[in-house]
Formats: sequence, C-alpha cells, structure tokens
Amino acid sequence: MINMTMQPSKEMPIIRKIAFYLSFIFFGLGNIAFGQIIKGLIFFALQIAIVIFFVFWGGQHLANFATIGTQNQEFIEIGGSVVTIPGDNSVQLFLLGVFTILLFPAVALLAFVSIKSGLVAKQNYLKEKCSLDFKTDCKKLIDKDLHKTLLTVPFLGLLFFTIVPLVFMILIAFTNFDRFHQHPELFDWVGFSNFRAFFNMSADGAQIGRTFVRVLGWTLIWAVLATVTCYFGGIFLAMLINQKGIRGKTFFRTVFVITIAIPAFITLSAVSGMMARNGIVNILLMRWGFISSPLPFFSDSMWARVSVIVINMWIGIPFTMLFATGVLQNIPSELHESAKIDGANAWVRFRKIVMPYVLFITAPVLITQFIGNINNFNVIFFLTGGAPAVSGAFGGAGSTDLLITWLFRLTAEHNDFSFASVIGLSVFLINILISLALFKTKSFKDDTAFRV
Amino acid sequence: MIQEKFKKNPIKVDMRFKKAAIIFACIVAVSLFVPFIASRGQVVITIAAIGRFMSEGQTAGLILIVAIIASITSCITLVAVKTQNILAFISIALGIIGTISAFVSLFTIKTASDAVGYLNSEFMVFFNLNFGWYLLFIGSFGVMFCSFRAIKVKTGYIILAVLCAIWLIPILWLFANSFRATPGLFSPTFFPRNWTIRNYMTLFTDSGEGNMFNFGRWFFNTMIVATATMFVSATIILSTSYAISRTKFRGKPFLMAGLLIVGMFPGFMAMTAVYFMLQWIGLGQTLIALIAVYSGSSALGFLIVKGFFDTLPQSIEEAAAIDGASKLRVFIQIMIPLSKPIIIFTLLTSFMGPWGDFIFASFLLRGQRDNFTVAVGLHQMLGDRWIESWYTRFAAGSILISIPIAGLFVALQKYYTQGVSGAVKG
Amino acid sequence: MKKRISIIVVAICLFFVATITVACSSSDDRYRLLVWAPAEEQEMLLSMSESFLYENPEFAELVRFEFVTMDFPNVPDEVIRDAMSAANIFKFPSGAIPAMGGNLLPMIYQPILTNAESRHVEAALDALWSDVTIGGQNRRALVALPASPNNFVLHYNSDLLTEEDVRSIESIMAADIDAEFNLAMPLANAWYNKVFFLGAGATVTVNLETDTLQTTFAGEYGMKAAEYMSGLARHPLFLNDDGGQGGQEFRSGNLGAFFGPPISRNDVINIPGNITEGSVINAANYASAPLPTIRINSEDRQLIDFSEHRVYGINALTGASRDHLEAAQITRIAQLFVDYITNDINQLRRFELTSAAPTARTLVNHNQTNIPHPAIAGNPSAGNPGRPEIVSSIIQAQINSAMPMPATRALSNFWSPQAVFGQQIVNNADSGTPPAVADFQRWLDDLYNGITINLTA
Repeated sequence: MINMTMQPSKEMPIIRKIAFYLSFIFFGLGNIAFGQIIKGLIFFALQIAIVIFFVFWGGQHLANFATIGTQNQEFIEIGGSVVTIPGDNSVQLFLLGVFTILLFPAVALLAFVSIKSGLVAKQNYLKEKCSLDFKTDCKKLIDKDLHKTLLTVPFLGLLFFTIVPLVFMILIAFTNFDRFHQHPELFDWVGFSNFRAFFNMSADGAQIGRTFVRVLGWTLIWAVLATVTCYFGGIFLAMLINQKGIRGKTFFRTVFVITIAIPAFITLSAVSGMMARNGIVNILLMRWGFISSPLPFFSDSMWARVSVIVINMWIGIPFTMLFATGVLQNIPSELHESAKIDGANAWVRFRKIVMPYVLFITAPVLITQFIGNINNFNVIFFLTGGAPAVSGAFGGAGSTDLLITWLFRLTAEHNDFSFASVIGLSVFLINILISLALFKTKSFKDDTAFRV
Repeated sequence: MIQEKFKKNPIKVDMRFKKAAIIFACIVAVSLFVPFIASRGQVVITIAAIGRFMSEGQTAGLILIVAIIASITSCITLVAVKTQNILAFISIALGIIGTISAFVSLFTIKTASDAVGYLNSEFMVFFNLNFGWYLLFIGSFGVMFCSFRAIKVKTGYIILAVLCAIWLIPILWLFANSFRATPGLFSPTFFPRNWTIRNYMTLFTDSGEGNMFNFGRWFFNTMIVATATMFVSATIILSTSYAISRTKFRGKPFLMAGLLIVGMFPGFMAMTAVYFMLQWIGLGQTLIALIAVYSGSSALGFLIVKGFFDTLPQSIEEAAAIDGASKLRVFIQIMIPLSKPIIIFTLLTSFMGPWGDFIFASFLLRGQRDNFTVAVGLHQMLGDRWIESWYTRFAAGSILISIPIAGLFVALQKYYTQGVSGAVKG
Repeated sequence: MKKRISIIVVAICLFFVATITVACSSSDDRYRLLVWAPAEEQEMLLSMSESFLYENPEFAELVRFEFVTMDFPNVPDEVIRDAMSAANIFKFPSGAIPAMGGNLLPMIYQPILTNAESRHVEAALDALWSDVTIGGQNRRALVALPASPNNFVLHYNSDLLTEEDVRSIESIMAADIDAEFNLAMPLANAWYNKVFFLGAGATVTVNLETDTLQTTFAGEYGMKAAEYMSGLARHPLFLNDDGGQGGQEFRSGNLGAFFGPPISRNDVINIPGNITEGSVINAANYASAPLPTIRINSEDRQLIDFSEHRVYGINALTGASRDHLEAAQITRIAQLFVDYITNDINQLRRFELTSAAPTARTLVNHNQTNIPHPAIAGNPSAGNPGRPEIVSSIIQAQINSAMPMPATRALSNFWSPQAVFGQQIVNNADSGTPPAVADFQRWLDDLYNGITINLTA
C-alpha cells in the first residue's frame, strides 16, 4: 500500500504521473514510467495481442457461439461425382467460443497484475530512487516468487485439461448435443430443457427423471455401504494381523496387498466370469450338491447389489488395511498395557481406546473414501456393467448402475453428451454438498492435513 | 534347536481345552455312522455298508477316513501333551489336516454317492440325517481349535489362513485359466483338465485376424506411456505440493480450495471436450495425447504429498536462506533428497496408473489399434466376437502384466504404506 | 569457446536432420484412402486393391490404400462420433444408414448406378437409396453398395435332426434326440429375439412427422410373442445361448440346433489345429436351414427378420482437404473401388475366402435356375455338400425382404429396450413361476416406451 504521508524524496515529473494514470488503459505504461522497460513492454505486448485477437476473430467467435453454427454440409456435383462442402462444425465453434469467453477473466487478471506491478514500481521508485531491473525480477522467480515458477506448468496443465473442458461440458448441458445432433448435424442452445427432463417424474415417455432418482438413490446407498464395510473390515483385518504373537505379519500383509497391485479391471473381469450364470462358482456349487439351480448373482437386482458390495470389500479392504495398520501402530502401547492391568478385555479395549483413536485420525480419509466410492467406476462397470437391466430405464441404466457409470454409458455408447453433462453436474453437486457437510465435523477441523 | 527353546521356557497347556477337545473327538467318531442311517423309518447301520462306501466311493471314502483318523489322533496326541513341545505341534498339524479333509469331504459326497447309489439323494439338506457330514466338519474343526488354544498358539492364524485363501481364489482362477487348453469362457472344472503353455506363446506370436490383438505392441505402448507419465506427473505433483506447502503467497487458500473443488467433478466428464480439443490440434488418438491427459490433471492429487511436506521442519529453509541459497536450490538440493519415501510413492502411483486405466484410454484411443494400451487391448479380447477363442489368452496376458506390476508394488510396499498412512497422520 | 563451438555443431546437425525428415515425408503426395473392414477381410481387400490399381494405373498416382481392422458393429458409432478421424471407406450394417445420414457420400456416378441395379438383387438395394440435395437439386443416389446379407439362420446337426424336424420350433423341441438340449438361441440379444415379435405379426414402423419409431410390439401380437418366448425359455430342452455356450455344446454333440450367422459354421465344424478340434461336427453331419415357423393362435407363422445387408460406404469428408477438382477425382476413385469390391467376381472371392453370402444376381440365381452358383449349392450327388448355411442365408434374405428396416435414425432407440425385454424373460426362466399376464404387460409397456421415446418433445 502506498503511504501517502511519506514525503517524496524526489519530485515526480509530470510526464511520469500521466504515464502512471494512463497505465490503467494501456497496460505496462506504469512500469515503463518508472524504469521497468522490459516488463512494461511485455504487458503491453500481451495487451496488444489480446486486442488484436478480439478485433479480428473474437467478435466472430462470440457470434458463432451464440448460434453454434448455421451452415449445413452441402454436396455439389463436379465431373459426374459428388464433392462435399463441409458445413460448420458445431463442436469447433463451441470450443472457440469457450476460449474467447475465458479470455475475459484472463484480461481482468492481466489488468490486475499489470496495474499492481505498476503500483509496486512506483512505490519502489519513490523509496529508492532507482528501479528494479528485469534481471533482478527474474532472479526473484527462483527465490521469493518460487511459487510462480513451480505452479506455472501445473496451472497450464490444469487449465487445458481440466478447466477449459469442464467449462465446455458445463455449457454443453444447456445445448442439445445428443446422439441426433452429431456432426454434420448442428446443435443448438436449449436452455434448461435438459434439466427439466431430469425432473420429469412421469411414468410415460422417456422416464429420465425416474431413472435419475433411482440411480442417485442407489449411488448414495452404495457409497455408504461400500465405505463402511471396507472401513471396518480393513480395521478388523489390520488388528488381526497386528496382534502380538502372530508371526509373519509382512507375509500376510503382502498376500492382501497383491490384490491392490493387480489392475482392477483384470481381477474384476475374472470374478465377473466366475460368478456368471454358468460360471465356475455356480457349476461347482451345483456339482457338489449345495444348490439345484444356478444362483442369480448378477441377474437378480437384490442379489446383484449385495454381490457388488461383497466383492467391493474384496477389493477395498486391503487398501484400508494398509492405512489402518499405520494408524494402529501409532497407538501408544502404554494405553493398552495400562488398560490390561485395569482388567479391560480385548473388546472393551477396542471400543474405548482403539476405535475412537482410529476414527479421529482417519475421518478425512473416510470422507475421501466416501466420495471416491460415489465415483467408483471400476467395480460396477467391470463386474456387472450395470446389470441387471431394468425395464424402462433411460440410457440403459441397470440396477447396479452408479451415476458415474451411467454417465460413461451415455457418453461412450450413446453419444448423448448433453445428458451426460447434466449427470456430471449433479455428481459434482453431490460431492460438494457431502464434502461441505462432513468437513464441518469436529475431527476435521482439528486435523492438520488441511492446514493451509 | 526347537527342543532346547521349549525346555528353557515350558508353556503350560490349558486343561479346559483338552477336555473340550475330547468332546469334539467323540462327535467326530459319532458322525462316522450318522449319514448311513437310511430314512423312511428304517434304521440300518451296518459295517458292511460303510465298507462298501469306502471301497466304491474311492476318493471320497479315502478323504473321509483321513479326516476321522486325523482328528481323533490329534485329540489323542493333545491329551498326551503337557507342555508346548514337538508333540503339541504335531497335534496341531493333525488337527489342521483333519479339518481340511472334513471340509473337502463335504464337497466330494455328492459325486461319490451318485456313484454308489444308495445314499439319500437330497443332499446337504439338514434334516435328512446327512447332517452327519456337517457334524464331522464341526467336530474336527473343534478339535483343531481346541488344540490351538490349549497350546496357546494364536487362533488368529486360522482366520488369517482362511481369509488369505479367499483373497487369492480369483487370482488362482485366472492363473489356472491361463494354462487351460480348451478355449472358451466356460470351464467345467476349476483346475483345467488339459494344461498348455500355448496361450502365453500365442499372445506374442499370433496377433489374431487382421492384427487385432498385438499384445507385444500394447505392452510396449503402455511402458512408454507409464514411464513418461511417471516423470511428468511426479514433477507436477511435487511442484504443486511443495508450492502449496512451503511457499507463502497471497491467495493460497483460494488456490487450495479451487483445486479441491475442481477435483470434485468426475474426471470422465471432461473427456469429450479434451478429445475434441486434442483432435483439433492434430493429436487425436495418439499416445502423446494419453500422456498429456494423464499428466495434465495430476496436480489434483496434491493432498497426500502436501501432507508429507508439511511434516518437514521449517528450520531447514531458514538456515538455507541465511546461507544465501535461493528457494529453488533449497527445493532441489535439500528438500527432494529428504523426501525419498514420498517421491517413490508418487513415482509408483503415477507409473501404475496407466497400466490399469481403461476408461480414459479407450475413450481417447477409440479405433486406433496400434496405439492401444494393455488395458484397452485386453478388454477387447472380451468382446462377443472374440471371447470364445481369446479368453484363455486374456487370462495369460493378465498374468503377464500382473507379475511385474505386483512385484514392483510388493518391493516398494514399504513406501506405499508410508505414503498412505502419512496422509492419515496429518 | 569450446562450449560455443559445440552448440553451433549441434544446431547444424539438428538443422540437417530436420530438413531431411521434412524432405522425405513430403515426397508422398497421394491421397490416403483409409479402409475399415472386419478382420477376416483384410487380406482379401488388400489383394483386391492391388488388382484394382493394376487395372487402373492412373489411379495409382492419385491415391494409395491403407487397411485397418475395425469390428463390423462398431463402425457406425465410430463414424458418427468423429467423422474426421474415421476411415474413408468402411463396411457397416445397412440399418445404420439413416443414423449416419450426412456422413455418407452419395454416389451418383452413372456407371456405378447402372451397374448396381443390374448386378444386385433388388432386396439388397432397397435400403441403400437416398434422396439427397446436390447442388441445390434433389437427386436419387446410392449411399452404399451391398456385399452380403446380414441375417442369421438355423444350424443343426443332421445326425440328430432331420430336415422335416427343423421346419418349426415345435417339431424341433418335440424331436426325441440323444442330446441334452434341442435348441439354443441368445434370447437376451435384441438382434435375435425380435424375430418372435415380427413373426407373430407385430410391427415397427416410422412415424414420419416426429421421426420416431412407432410399434405394435405392446399389442396383442406382442403379448403372444412374449408368452411364446417365455415358454421357450422355460422349456428344459432349450438352452439360452450366452457367451458362446451354444457353440461349445454343439461341438460336443449336446445340442441339436442353434441360431447364428452363417459364419458360425466355422466355429463349430471340426478343423484340425483350430480351436474347434475335437468337434463332433463335420461336413457330413452339418446342415443349415432358414428360420423355422412358430405356432401362434393355431396358425403357423414364419419367423421373419428385418431386411438388412452388410454394405460398403464412403465417408462424406473424403477428399475434403483437397481442392474441388482433385476432390471430385478422389471421390470418383473411391466409388469405383467400392463398386469393384462388390462386383460379381469379387463377391465370389469374398464367399470363398470369408464364407459370406453374395447379393449378385448371377451368384444367387445362377443362370436363372433359381439355384445359387455351384460353389455355393454344391453337388450333393457327387458328394460335394456345398455350403448349406450360405444357401439358407440367401433364402432367408429373400424371406426377410418383405420386412424393411425402419428408415429412421431413431432406430438406435430400438435395441436397448428390446435387449432388456429379452433379459427379463431369461431372468425369469430360472425362477419357479412363469410370469403373469400383468408382468408381461408391464415389460411390454416398458418396451413400448423405450422404443417410441421422443427426446426432442
């Protein structure tokens, strides 16, 4: 902040004052006015580049963005054969429009940075009568401003591969970019009609709303059950291995860890084949006389849901066991010893010492696991593929389909991108709501992992 | 050597369990006869009937004999044992053999009795006096359990052994299938009747009609993608985590909150847009695109590494600053060597990601078969048209990629555990 | 000094490498015609392209061919999703033509149109005509050329079942044969189970106003078909074919007959050194027949399928990157190539190499004798059994030609609900009680809603 009461030790020439105030319009003049020529020229060049872009192309992109293409593909005849004149490509126009729109906050950012640096230059000028040159500024990049250097590449990566695509897909939710509007067809803005379709609960017609509610309900139930079973299972297993008197702890842990090591889709495809209607499990059970007709592991709704949760335990418990082991090993053994002396048996010790400690420490991981399970694509997709199929479902959503697998199916198999975006947005909302709700609990606030 | 150890500290045997063991052994003895009581009001117990079952039922009879003899012998040995010596462990071993045989006999009964022909056909139904078989199992399990407790060996071993077996079954199944000679999805037995190594060989030599399944090429592709992703991702994650953890700048809370919020979107949602963007600049369906996609959003996984950096003391940087080193030098020359565990953790997780990822790779690579990774390629083998002839080769391919990955993981298990629990300690 | 010299040397080397790479890569100016074809056609198309270029050397200076394997059912989706990266020429099912719409290049080159009309049977060309606006005028053009019918037939073991037995499903199921199952069919697969509905008399047509499907599948004929399917699924001698189990049982002699495309013959007949080694089926006891009849309302109704063919089409964006004159030449060459690979000689070659039934009149109706070409029909008296499954496929294509496929892009709404319906029937088959009429009605209503869905309403 500029200290207005400080007496300037040098008179500021008028021209420098004018240049400074002009820097609000022409970025970089402030820096030039106070001797930082190279830096000021950089800001100015960036501004010119953006202005040129807007003048020549930006307006066109924005206009195209509003209409998302008007020119259809055409055929003409030349020499007895047909030649195609490609029409507008809605996707490309949309992309360009998104880029242009994202330039607005970029301009604001540039303005903010350049004006602020002009102010800093002015302050330095008043204080020291000389200005920092470009070389020193660069040197600061590896010292005081190291965060700028370190964060550049990650930020750019995020920008191109996460932020721009997300903005693109969020906006797609307001268009009708579905399977009937693929290239060379053009798609258009439709406002909130996709969202309205998702709230349409009637039993006739597309049944989008009903399918959505059903899938949402199962996703939440699944997340709760999967997280809880894996969590307590992992703790139980960790305690079992951790007992005094069990030798070969590393061996046992390694056996369970092998399940994590092998890629999930391989083991899940294998299990899916094992438990199919004519899979080895049913065949063996029938041969041994335990059952007379195959068990409908994946063809009956309830069976499928239970099977999926049980098999998820098989996949998830080794992981929770690993971190529970780390936590359990940190419980000071004096607590156990003194409790034993006081006559507490294993169960009481578990309830009063181990569980509270473990819960306290691992609460954030529990939340992360919960959100991870909401988005747990692998287990459902490779195990059942969403089966068993439910009659009348939109987009083929079965009884074990989660929102995320439904999203995948709509995108990869049906090309219904607009509906997929609506689902993606709802998943995002759920994640945010749950995170906010759970993060308010006491144990999170005390936990230092999120210390800034 | 073991004898001396026991002579030095003799562990007393628990008497209560000895008595319990005797009761269970009696149950085992009784169960020998129970299944042979025919229903419909007639009670027929003949030694001859039992003898016929043993001779005609073949393996089933043998297993039955083994179970009963082992359990009873175990009990007898237990009774003779006074302290934890070799005899005690023999008794435990016999108990284990007895229980496993009793367990196996539960499964052999139907096939054996079908051959013999006069046992009750409604098997395993409880009230048909076939519960004798269950009695056998309960009895021998009881004997084993009591012998464990009597000699003060942890019974946790039993549960752990059972759990380990359950956990390894699917992997064993995959392993067995990879050696199966008859192709196709369905197999009538767990262990194949005809064994062959041909599946492994043809994975590399036969790339299928029209070059559909070029396993060697996929392996190569995935190795490239995984290695490149490992380096790029690790650099990005380390830079981001270090910047958030150790540097001060305005807007840090906003950056962290922003990263967390962006991470709340399902990753796949952005795929369509990324695909179109990459296609627009000409990188569609290439491996570079895949590497870029995996690495580009890796900054979102900064939380665990940041937690680790938080635990390093601040004094290091202050001392280095006094010595005149720039922060960058501190990062590279001091912090990184100190963070070996978390770096290995990051490299490991970044390397293993592309091997197992299916949805992103399949969506980005589409039909470009030459650029498939192992995950996409193996999944193709499960398509309707191909599964009949390629399922066993799918199993072989799965084992081939699982071995190095699992080996790597197990070797670096220490670091992985540290990283994961580090996230927890906070 | 040393450092500077080494930097200069490295720069010069890089420069040379760069120029050489650029020079080498820019030498091939020919347009690349990428062809997507199923795995079994790769070699065949490669040699066909070589003879095509040999016969027309002037084309060889303009284009070069590249062949990539692409699974036949996936092609329409791949082209629709990303036409720019898709192949220039591809093989796909004709039912997808309305969905692919503007992605297909209309063929108006007159010699090709004349060739097609005289060469192929009418049924094969029915779905391939399209009204397109070219240069502002409405013209009738072909958007694809046919290679073979896309249908399935009944394969049976002539040691177990006779020709009379396989005329109707009732007689198949009633035949007393020494096998565990009499008949197998993938009931949960929409491609297969729709024949029950269509055979019973239900229809699927296009509502031209809303461009959606309309159907009577939920009406009385649909109910009859549903009850029939359920009865069949619960029959102890019927095997619901899932994951290739039908093929395995047929090879072991445990199955009397199964439904499958003509190429299934190669999956079941004993070929030493192949995976089918050890199969009990050989050229002597393998037989094939068109789809049988079913008995509904005391009437024998023929099982009938949509009329569909495997066709080759051209990507509309072919040549779009060149100037108009060159683009016209390229598209003409592409059309001539597609015409070439579907002509009489090459259809016969395709049959010999990949066992695909032809659509050329001269092959289907050899010398107007109403008997197919000798290579297909064989000479039973001389001990040459010919290819019965191809004959059945040809006959079946004629039967199917009475039921055109609904020509609307909304056809994509048909498959998933139909598959779900089949899955309900299959799931119920394991349970103790057959479905009640209310259950059927509920499933049929869901099926109706799914098929007639109108997303744009």
